[in-house]
Amino acid sequence: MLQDSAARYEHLLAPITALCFASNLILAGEGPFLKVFNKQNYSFLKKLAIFRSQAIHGIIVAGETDVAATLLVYGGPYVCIVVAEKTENKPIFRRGPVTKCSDRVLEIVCRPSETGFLASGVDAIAITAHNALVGLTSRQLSGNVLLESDIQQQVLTAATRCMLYTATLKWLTSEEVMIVAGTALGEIMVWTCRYHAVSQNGVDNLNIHYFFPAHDGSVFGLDVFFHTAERDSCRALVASCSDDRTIRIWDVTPALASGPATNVEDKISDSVLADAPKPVSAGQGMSVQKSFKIAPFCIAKTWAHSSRIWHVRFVSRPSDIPNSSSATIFSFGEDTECQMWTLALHHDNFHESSPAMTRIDAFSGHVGKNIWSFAIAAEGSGTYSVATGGADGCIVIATSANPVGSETSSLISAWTIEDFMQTMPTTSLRNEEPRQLLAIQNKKQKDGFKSYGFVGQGKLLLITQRGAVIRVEVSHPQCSSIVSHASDVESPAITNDETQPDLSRSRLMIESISNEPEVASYAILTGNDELGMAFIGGADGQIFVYNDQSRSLGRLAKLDGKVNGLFSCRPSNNDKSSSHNNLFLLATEMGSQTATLLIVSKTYKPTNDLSPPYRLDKKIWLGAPSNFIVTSFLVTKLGRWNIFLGSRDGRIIRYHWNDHESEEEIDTKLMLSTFHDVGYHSDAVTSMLWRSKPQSEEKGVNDHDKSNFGFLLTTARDFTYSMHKVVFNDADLTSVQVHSTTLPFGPNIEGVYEGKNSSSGDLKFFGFHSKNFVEFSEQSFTELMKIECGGAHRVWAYQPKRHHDVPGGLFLWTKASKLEIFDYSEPQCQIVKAGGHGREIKACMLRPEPYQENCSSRILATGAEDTDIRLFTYSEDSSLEIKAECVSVLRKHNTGIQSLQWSDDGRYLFSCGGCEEFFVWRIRRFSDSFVRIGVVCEAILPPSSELADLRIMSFSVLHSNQQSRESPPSQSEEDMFEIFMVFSDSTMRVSDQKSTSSETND
Amino acid sequence: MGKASRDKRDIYYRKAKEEGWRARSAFKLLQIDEEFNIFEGVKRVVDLCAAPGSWSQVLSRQLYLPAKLSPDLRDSDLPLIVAIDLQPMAPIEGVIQVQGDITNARTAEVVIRHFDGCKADLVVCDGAPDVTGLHDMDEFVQSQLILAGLTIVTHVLREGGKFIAKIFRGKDTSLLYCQLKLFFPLVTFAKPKSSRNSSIEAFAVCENYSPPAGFNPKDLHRLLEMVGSPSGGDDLDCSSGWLEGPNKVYIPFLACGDLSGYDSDRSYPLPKVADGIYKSLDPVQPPIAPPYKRALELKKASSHGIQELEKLSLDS
Repeated sequence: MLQDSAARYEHLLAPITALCFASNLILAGEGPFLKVFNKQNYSFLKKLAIFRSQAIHGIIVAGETDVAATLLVYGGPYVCIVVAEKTENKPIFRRGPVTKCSDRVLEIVCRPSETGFLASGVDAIAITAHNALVGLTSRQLSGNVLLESDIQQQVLTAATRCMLYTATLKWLTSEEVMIVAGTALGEIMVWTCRYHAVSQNGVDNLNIHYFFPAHDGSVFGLDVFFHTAERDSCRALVASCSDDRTIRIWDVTPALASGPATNVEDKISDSVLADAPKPVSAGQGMSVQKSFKIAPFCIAKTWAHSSRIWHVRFVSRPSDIPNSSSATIFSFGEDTECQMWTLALHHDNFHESSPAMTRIDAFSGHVGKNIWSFAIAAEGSGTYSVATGGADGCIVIATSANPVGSETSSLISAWTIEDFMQTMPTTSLRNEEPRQLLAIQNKKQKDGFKSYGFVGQGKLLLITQRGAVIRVEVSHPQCSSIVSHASDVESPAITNDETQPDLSRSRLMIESISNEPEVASYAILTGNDELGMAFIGGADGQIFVYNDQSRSLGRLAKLDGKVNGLFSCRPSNNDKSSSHNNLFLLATEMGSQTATLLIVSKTYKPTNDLSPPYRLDKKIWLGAPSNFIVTSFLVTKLGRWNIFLGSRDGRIIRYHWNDHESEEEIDTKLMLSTFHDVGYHSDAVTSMLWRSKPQSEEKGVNDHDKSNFGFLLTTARDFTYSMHKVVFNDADLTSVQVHSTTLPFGPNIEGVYEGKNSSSGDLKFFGFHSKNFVEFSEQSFTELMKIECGGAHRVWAYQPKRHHDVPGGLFLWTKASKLEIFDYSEPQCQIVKAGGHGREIKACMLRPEPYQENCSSRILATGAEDTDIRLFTYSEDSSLEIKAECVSVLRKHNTGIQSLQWSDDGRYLFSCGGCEEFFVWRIRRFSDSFVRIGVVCEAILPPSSELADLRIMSFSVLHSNQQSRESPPSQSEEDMFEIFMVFSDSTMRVSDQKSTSSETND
Repeated sequence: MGKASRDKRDIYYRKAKEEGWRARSAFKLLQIDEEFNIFEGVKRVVDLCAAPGSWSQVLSRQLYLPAKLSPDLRDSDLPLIVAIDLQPMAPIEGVIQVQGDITNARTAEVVIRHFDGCKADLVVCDGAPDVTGLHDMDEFVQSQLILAGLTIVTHVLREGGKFIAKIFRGKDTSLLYCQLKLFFPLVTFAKPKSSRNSSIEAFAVCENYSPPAGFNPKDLHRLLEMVGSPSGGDDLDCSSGWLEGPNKVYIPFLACGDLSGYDSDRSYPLPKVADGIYKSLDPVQPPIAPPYKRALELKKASSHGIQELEKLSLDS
């Protein structure tokens, strides 16, 4: 039925306007297409064009057999049958006949039959936007015949004048149906009627039970819930939501009573009656009953979302929770949030005491605005899978974290110092520190948590105010059985309240290691969880070393002054010759411009060996520039040893020395005082990652080029992370910033790690955003985790689960002198299908292919009203199902993007927006780096008006000294651009822009 | 966006305040009049979805006030202006307000009564729903609003009268055009200069009302549905299908407002005034009570220290 037209969709990213769970599949409506995903692993299975241009608004399963399922897919006034054949691998989907109703279809439900669903064929009724019922039937029983036969359409009731935004249908029996309709004017109508088989006369016994003003604005969403209380009395509840930002719950139980309603004291005005739905077939006459004019009892009202609320949905109670005295409600809004509510229904006469509606969860995985569609599936033990589809074209699945009934998140646990002291067994003290000493100190003055450092997966070392060094092992609730096996007399597992063990909480195994008065009241602690070591610096300059394998603490070195910084780093593994047990420790001391670099080896010895399980190999002094306070540290070996340091004011420098120099004895003072500047941030550099160029490349084309290079990734407390390409020429170094991006949280970006899928730019950043600790993925551009902890001033430690398939981590912090532990094993929101901007896309430009690059994909830039520019790779490989993939989000504009343009050689992207913003971006592609596309904003055109609030509507860029595209531009060449812009006051301006391309061969 | 910034970016917003219009949309009707001369000979006019009342103001200033001020005034000569809206609005000189639902047949009767049994020469409608952001939904709701307007038009407009209505240009525009053509031989879609180019809004200017012979207003919907599938029911795929190819309907489209007028997509500097600072005026008529008014009030209250929003009473 689809006609060939000149232009066809090759790829579409549109708002997700329909979602449905069907056995192990997720069905989604994206524009006119039905897309099918696997519910278990979210893999994309199938795309099927249903309509030519009409968007899909709803998908329901109309019938199911062992071999096939019948779907009804509807959008606007159109309804289409789709048959899905179940096969071993991918299900086969075939599009059947389409029918057009006289009006927009709001909802379709299938008629329940005695045998459950019909084996095949369709028996359903639809409600339209003018409150009319339409019967839809297709009687053929074989799947193949169904595709060829038409859908029989029977208009059952006449349309009313007032338009509905929403309506829902519920079967009371297999013949009686309840309709709840919400009008654009904020009224709700509740009516019932009896529906006969299609051969007969349609509907009769039509009752209007309620027609009442319910909201101050239009009613956008409705749902009905039948609550069966203990005494077999069934209550009917209606939930409604509106643009007045409230959710209201109405008790419409009297509508369940069959037969005419009794209370006719208030006459419905003739105009209302004239506007009531009535059966189409004349033979049935006017069987409309005059009934209640009074509104039903509103049992709960609550403020919900911060903007319009589009949908509200009751979920049926899980059968494994008996005597349920509450109902669960989900709501979805313009603010992209899904909120989960519980409605208490425990009072028999809840007309008198208004039941409370409490929000128990809220989450969002979308950008921009609006959740347009959703699907909910019960997953047992009171949890639900909620899929949401947004205007951004993204499909997100969230698992409601809270089992129904529990009030707080089970993933956080809090521990006081007393919890530790009480359960610490005397026998566990390995050192000679008597248990009694701790007890005496406890009496004198309250102890508290001071500092944390990880020494292994889920294992950490902590220091208390009094200098007690304690090892803690955190185990996830699911692993509690393992813990109980592992626990012995020395390290018993504790729970917070031993009389009532709470299995949902994390369990801790604690072990006292030592008690060091030198680190009491002041201690700097750094742990290395890969090697299982930790270092502690004290006020008198003493540095201790801890080896987790032998649980031993020893003295490593002593500085002259107070230790104010300790940083440990294992050299990157590119150099096979370096020992894997090497660890570099950088210690800085108060009031000194010299930092001490210690190279430590971990040694493996039997526990009864009294010699220390570590060795200090080397000591090097680094002379730092003045006012250089070290905040991050990295070691890498690329021919030479290179030490990178980041400072509190955002500076990044590099020291180096040759291998032969390291042959010196330990006591020989190797003083490094020459350094090279690498780059700058505008605030403290918090972490660094290094990646050398691939080995294969070293032996390849670049043999004549003796320079080594690699990429340095840095994060800072200025909202940004950046990447420098660092090229080493003997002792010298050149460094170019090739990527710099603002993250959507901060300013305190505290660290970064590469996920398992590191070849495709799988970077995960963590840090603080106002009072929350946040982890953010720069691969999916979503927040993976957010936990309220009070903010960046807390004492905290974070250990991401780097080697797991799904993101996760252990975050701990001190709050109100309690140790709080948040153990997250997977993000609450998982992405089924990635989306785009979520707001109006204003500009879109395909990148011209530069001569050097030989990629199978091209780059598409889009700019939208959400102020972001996104770069997509667009694959030319027609066999791929998902062709476009967002690889970079450029967040610098403060206003909506108006226009975009690439330079002819594809190396520059120009963008403009409101407030006279005009940016020049340098774009580079990388095949083996931290990011696939490097983006640097190289120039900002200064505004030309006194008060820069004009929009730049459009522009054109001329490459003044254009090289021919066949030959590479010469190294020293400057790029010159002439930029012609038109402003919103109808003026046109021309500007020159120079760009020095210091590095062109990428 | 602050008042001053909006003053600069939106010339019609500033001019509307300076000239005392309740909304900038007043200029749209004025510019449509410049092009189509819609007020000529008009004695009875209906403003549908009138609140906050800027179009009623235009009607008052263009029709009522000139007649009132003319030297040879007779009371029977004064034009009659009836404004209908669900919301109440501040009074405007010479405008009779009817608070009611335009989809209700009773409202039409009330209008006719105000016209002493006569029918109107002109019906205007600037109503639009709150846009949701779901485009086909917004177009559908707007087309429903126009059809509701058309319903009342068939009751109150005299033959040969005019009907001006706001439309959203979308994929169903051709359908709407065909539906309007059933009743008006001359239909033009006009885009006044004061309507932003970036907005999909336009205005249907329908002239010379001539309903089909023997037309009964009760048959309106049946008649309109027939337009919906002129090719005889094979429109099963999508609504624009039948309008492709040689059968595509040509819709007259006209921009109005002359070249000397202001450009709504352009920013203008604020005028220089004696003391150096242009004083931004407050809107003539503050926004009518939106449905989320109470939610905003509660939000404001919470920022002043009241924390428990849910605890605050919703009843008031």
